[in-house]
Amino acid sequence: MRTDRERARGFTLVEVLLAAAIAALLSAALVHVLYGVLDLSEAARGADTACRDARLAVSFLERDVRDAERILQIGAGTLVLLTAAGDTVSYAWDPAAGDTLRRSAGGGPAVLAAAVDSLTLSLHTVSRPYTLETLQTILVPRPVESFSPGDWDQWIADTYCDYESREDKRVKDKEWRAEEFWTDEKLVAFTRAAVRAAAKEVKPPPVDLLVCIYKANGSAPYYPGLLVAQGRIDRMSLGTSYAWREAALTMLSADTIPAGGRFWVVLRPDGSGTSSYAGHIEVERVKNCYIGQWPGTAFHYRESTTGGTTWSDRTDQKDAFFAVDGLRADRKLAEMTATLADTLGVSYFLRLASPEGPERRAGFIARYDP
Amino acid sequence: MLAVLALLAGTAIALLSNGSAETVVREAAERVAADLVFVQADALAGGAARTVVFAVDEDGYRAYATDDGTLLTYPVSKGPFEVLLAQRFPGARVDLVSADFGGSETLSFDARGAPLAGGIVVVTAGRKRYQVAVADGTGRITVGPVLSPSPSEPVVE
Repeated sequence: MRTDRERARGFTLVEVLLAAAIAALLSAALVHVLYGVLDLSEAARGADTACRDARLAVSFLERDVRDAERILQIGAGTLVLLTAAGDTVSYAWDPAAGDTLRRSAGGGPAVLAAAVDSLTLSLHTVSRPYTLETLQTILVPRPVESFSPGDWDQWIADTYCDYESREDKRVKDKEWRAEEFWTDEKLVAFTRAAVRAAAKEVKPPPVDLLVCIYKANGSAPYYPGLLVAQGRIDRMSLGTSYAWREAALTMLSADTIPAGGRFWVVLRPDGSGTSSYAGHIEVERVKNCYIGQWPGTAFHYRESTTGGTTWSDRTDQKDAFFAVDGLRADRKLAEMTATLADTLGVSYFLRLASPEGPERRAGFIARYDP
Repeated sequence: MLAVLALLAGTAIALLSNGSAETVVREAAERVAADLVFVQADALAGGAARTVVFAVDEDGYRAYATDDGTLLTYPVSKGPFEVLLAQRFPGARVDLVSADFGGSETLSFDARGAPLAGGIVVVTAGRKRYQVAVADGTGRITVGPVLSPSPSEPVVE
């Protein structure tokens, strides 16, 4: 039992030091716990900030992508959108610039999220084949006019006309032969002519046989006027008997070839001297026709002995065997197939650093943009 | 010995008091930020503009639906969205020093959650000052200490 004297004496130094040591230990423990709590609180705040930033960034991203008129550019950490108003909205994440994700819309860039350590943006598309139908202009070869052996046979049988003979008509020097014809439809070009020709006088003829297409003069007697196309039958190709000889025509005039246009096939030698024999052409002749029975209403045969300066008035009972082809412009429905890439949407992956572990957001923003 | 103990105790109290003020003002700033985040999210979710009107004199703020001016519902209490810092932090002397959003004490979020003008709200407790910043354009809300008081803001002791 402690005496009054002992009680009055108080604590010994050892007791005080012991109590102080215990108090210090307890305080240290409490401070340690307190700092632990503060650290946890700080980490929670950091995580909350990261979560808030991620939510805000995704919110803006989804809205801007959905509302955009078009995606102009997309890449690692970069997105540029075109708005319906014609402005651009851009996102930029630059790890070298403080890990911030910035959004620019009109004004300067504004921070959308900090501590971003990853941002991946990808455009998703689907390939779609499509067919485009267009009306294309095409050129269709068309026979313009022709007269061939036998074309009159049925007609002669039905009338009082008599078939007389086929005749040789020489093309030499200034002796030119011509056959008039009309176009049934509008053409863009004459492409080919043919006549039944042979080398009857000299084989081979010394000069080529020129096949010329003339536009008729606008008034009577409508003789050949403007030269619009020309071809050549090689003298070496002519044999001693008649056969169809073809000449590819080259257009020499830009004049249109209207429907119902009046033209001439003129056969002339490639030269105008005294020995420019180019061959003979074959013509058909009938006789004893009554007035009005002449079958050659579609063409009129003419001859010139002046190199095309003057022409015979009438040779109604003869027609040269000839053919002319042309090109007609037509419209054709054409189909073009190709493959288009339709935009389906944008996927994103966003990761922000946080004291409690990275904050992640990933998703797909759908937008059909054909 | 007693003098030494008194000195140590005084120092500890001062340190704890200072730390307590820091914790309180930071907590207050975080609360303001959380409320602003809620209003922003509410604007975005509802597709309608929202307005937060700060009242520096009352050390508080209210949040409204911009269209019809009705007070929003506070998510915790389910009551009107009226926050007075003195009630929220009783005995801590937390003050709302300033709220400046382009020269106004009103912060408005449009239907897309973007502020019409960014700005800063400053709160204090004791000598500690924290700010809540709302970024212009994006409305990103951040909390941090005010390192030096601006000349126009009185330092609340």
